[in-house]
Amino acid sequence: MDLTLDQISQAEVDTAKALLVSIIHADPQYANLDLRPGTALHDILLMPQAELWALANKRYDFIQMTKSFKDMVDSGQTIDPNYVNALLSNFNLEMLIGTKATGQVIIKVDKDREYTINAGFIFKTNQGLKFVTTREFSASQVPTGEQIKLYVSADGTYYYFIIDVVAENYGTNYLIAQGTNLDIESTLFNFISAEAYVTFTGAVPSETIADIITRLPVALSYRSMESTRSIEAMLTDPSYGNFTDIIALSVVGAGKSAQLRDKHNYIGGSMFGRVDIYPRTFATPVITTLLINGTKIGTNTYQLTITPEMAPGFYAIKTVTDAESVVNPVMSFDTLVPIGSYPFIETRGCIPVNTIPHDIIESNKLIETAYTKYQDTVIIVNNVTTPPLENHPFKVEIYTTPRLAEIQAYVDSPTVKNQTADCLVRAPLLCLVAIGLTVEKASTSTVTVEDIRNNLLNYINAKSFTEKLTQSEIIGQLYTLDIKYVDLSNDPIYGFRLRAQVRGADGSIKTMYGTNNPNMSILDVQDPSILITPDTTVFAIEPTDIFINLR
Amino acid sequence: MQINPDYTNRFFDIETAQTIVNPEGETRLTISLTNGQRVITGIQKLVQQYMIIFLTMVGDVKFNPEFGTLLLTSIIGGGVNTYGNLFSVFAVANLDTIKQILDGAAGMPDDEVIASAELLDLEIDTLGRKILFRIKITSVAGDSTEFIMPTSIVRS
Repeated sequence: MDLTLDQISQAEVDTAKALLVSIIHADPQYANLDLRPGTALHDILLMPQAELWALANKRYDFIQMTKSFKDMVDSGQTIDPNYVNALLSNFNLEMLIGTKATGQVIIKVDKDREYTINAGFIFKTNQGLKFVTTREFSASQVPTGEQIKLYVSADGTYYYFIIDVVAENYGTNYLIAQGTNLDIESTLFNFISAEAYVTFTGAVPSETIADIITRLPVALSYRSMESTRSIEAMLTDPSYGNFTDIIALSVVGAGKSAQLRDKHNYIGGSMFGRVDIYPRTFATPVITTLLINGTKIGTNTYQLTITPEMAPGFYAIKTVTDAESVVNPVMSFDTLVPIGSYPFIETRGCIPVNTIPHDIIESNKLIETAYTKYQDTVIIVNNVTTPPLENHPFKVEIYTTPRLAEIQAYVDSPTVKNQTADCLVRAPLLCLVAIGLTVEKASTSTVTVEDIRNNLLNYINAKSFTEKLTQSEIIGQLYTLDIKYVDLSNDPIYGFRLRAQVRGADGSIKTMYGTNNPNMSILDVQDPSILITPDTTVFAIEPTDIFINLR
Repeated sequence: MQINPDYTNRFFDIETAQTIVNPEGETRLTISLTNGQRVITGIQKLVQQYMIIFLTMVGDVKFNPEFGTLLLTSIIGGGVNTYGNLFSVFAVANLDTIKQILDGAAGMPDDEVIASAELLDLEIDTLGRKILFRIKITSVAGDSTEFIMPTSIVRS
């Protein structure tokens, strides 16, 4: 710790000085030294020593504090992660560092030529949020090697290509919505415009010391695929699975109502040995964008296929649009159909059951493979009015669980696999929430809509595998900010509105409203036969689904 | 100046100004806590304490920011425009110094407690960029001493 005198307080020096005076005067040989301010002894002997002593005391206190996570939390100081990691090294652990928001940008240009975007190319929102490329992209109409495709717009008036970017800094304020206009800081000839092609995802706050205290019992537990805690430890430990992005985990085994696979017997009773693992590897819902060529199967109708490799275990389809479309569908309070999306019908299936190395029964394969890496999907898209080509590129946005396939591969690996259990990894069911509220801030408050949105975003996206999201929780969370009043009336515009929907494994949508019943509970829509239970479901919200009136 | 050689039951300080041969210009003080350093009590200690406080600029001591006076601050900062103005600045600094001495004087013998400090004369040397203050200090015990306090008005 680099301490300087600037970090020492007057009181600390005064305390050290008083102690030194009492020590010096306690010795009969020095009992008569005049150590008052204004004496030479005070200035050249006492003060330098008192300052050094205060410095040493502070350093000692700091070192003592960094030996205990509880003391670190109690101190209220911002602790350098190196000190946290030094203490965690005793347990063979490391502090989890947050991730930055990521997403895709669509760049529109007016000429057909090759385009190169270098690593470090900067895009900027009107609010000054910056996003950068982390590698070079080269786009061409006829891509070769690692080049990306330069598309022609449906009306033929411009060209476009899509690249990946990452936020310049950490923070959920970088979760910009699809369609957000972006300026470029670097030069790109023939540039027309740039927009967020998807709603950005992935901004996960760094682990706090309080989080570490919560994590330690799991982290220190016995490593094996035997119990909820040890499975979680096995998956997250850097020395084992190293899936440090798992922020919550539910293990559904014998006795849990959503465990259907251990009842494959004539009496339908639980026979143990079957485990479904639901890892939450994201905070804000992660939306993956697929560019899929649809095949025309009828007038204005196309068919698309999502194979297991394209999006292992994806949860639900958010939108299907033309490839160059940039829309921002939000969860409306009035309709289930996302505005801006083509109407589509989704039919899920799975790879042949006899090729799945897990216990799946043919008669219930749709449910039992749901949200696993073994499911596949056929989408029928209607009302496509763009040029009647046999193949048409579509942009399909889906909710995914990052690293799901990797986690499945890990638990299936011979060195990890529990020989007495069949572990199947599923994406958690997202109970997607929308909130509308009116907040009045205190007259001296500087709180902004973004502050409130980020606060709610972080709170709700941390609620995993729990029964309820209540109005009182949200109100309590709002009052951690400097606000005066929250409108709890049933006013359709300004009142408190809460809504959520969850997709069952059979494709049905269960919707919950919190307007009349402020305690929005998974138990109200629970149906283990389609995998909807508190053990399988997490609450999640996107920034665009928080509607705030701030007065 | 009267010398008091009796150190019995008295608090003493070390003497700092012994290396000043000529009370003009700038002189580096040599202070040692080991060999050859003299100790002082009584009015000599009082004079030394007065000088240290009087010539310290307020804010210069990091962990005693109110220690000292505004005398040098005023002079160096151009706040003293006339000869007469210097007297008023001295008067304020003198009062500040006396107050700070008295604040720590509890339990001290009478000859180490200041009763008054009087400006007898002052000389401004514009070419040498210094001011010489001739001051008379009187203790509560009644003994007094006069001394010249050289003050450089250029701060390096």
